[in-house]
Amino acid sequence: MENQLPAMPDVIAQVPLNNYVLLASILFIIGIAGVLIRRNAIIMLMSIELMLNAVNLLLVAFSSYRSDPNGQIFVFFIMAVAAAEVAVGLAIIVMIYRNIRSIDISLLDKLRG
Amino acid sequence: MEDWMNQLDWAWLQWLALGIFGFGAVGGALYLFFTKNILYGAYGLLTSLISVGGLFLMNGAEFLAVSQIMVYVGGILILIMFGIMLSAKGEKKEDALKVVNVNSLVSLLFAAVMAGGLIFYSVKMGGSRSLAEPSAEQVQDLGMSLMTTQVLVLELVGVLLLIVLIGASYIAKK
Repeated sequence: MENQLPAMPDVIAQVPLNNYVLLASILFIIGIAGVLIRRNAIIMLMSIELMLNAVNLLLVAFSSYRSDPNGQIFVFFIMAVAAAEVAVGLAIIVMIYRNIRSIDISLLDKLRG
Repeated sequence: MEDWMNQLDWAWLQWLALGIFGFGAVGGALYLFFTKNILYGAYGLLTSLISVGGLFLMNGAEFLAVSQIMVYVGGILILIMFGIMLSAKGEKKEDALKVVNVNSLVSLLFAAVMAGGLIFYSVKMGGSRSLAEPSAEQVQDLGMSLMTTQVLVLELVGVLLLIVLIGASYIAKK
């Protein structure tokens, strides 16, 4: 039975690269629109995660295309920094909620001149 | 008897997998964008993250696919759900999870212009095939690189995570 089926990565790794670029662009645009339009702090945080994921997908696709593991190392570090960002962001959001009983970003206009 | 398996063209399999994962990723993201309920939006993000993990797997990055599911789905999404639970209490009970939108016209215009530019260039790039043969020792290469050339960055990220752990618990405590 050996060598009957082609190995899974051999079959899968032939998707043209521009499909991944297109997919990552769409995800990134949805994330940008989410950050700009929604006024809820948690939704904005989740949209930022979406944008980070689009960039990660692009890095992995190019790393596989070039057969170079350095792209995957960047993705690894981006994941760690994203985890840090979410932890601090959610702590700040909880503190904002304790102060003004809301997480609507448009209420935070005390510094507006 | 197994000859017919070699005769078949397995090229459709990659398109099927790309279609399923791509639909999951974009569908979850769109659901997050359009939903009125934050908690359902978190479920949309969950779908999107798992699908992107599947796309990592398609590109031969097994280690990153597993870390995607562990870090994002197991860690960040749980954190976000706790954030929702701790802050979802409005004046009235029913508008606790509601979301307000502003600046729709200008922002959508900006997003559309940017989408047009990105999609124009990615279509212009043409359908270049992925040429790399996936190496069997990809995880080993990754580990060697992390421990030799990238070891300073690895340590810095570790220190950053420690600082963030202390800082976040200090901010949230007060």
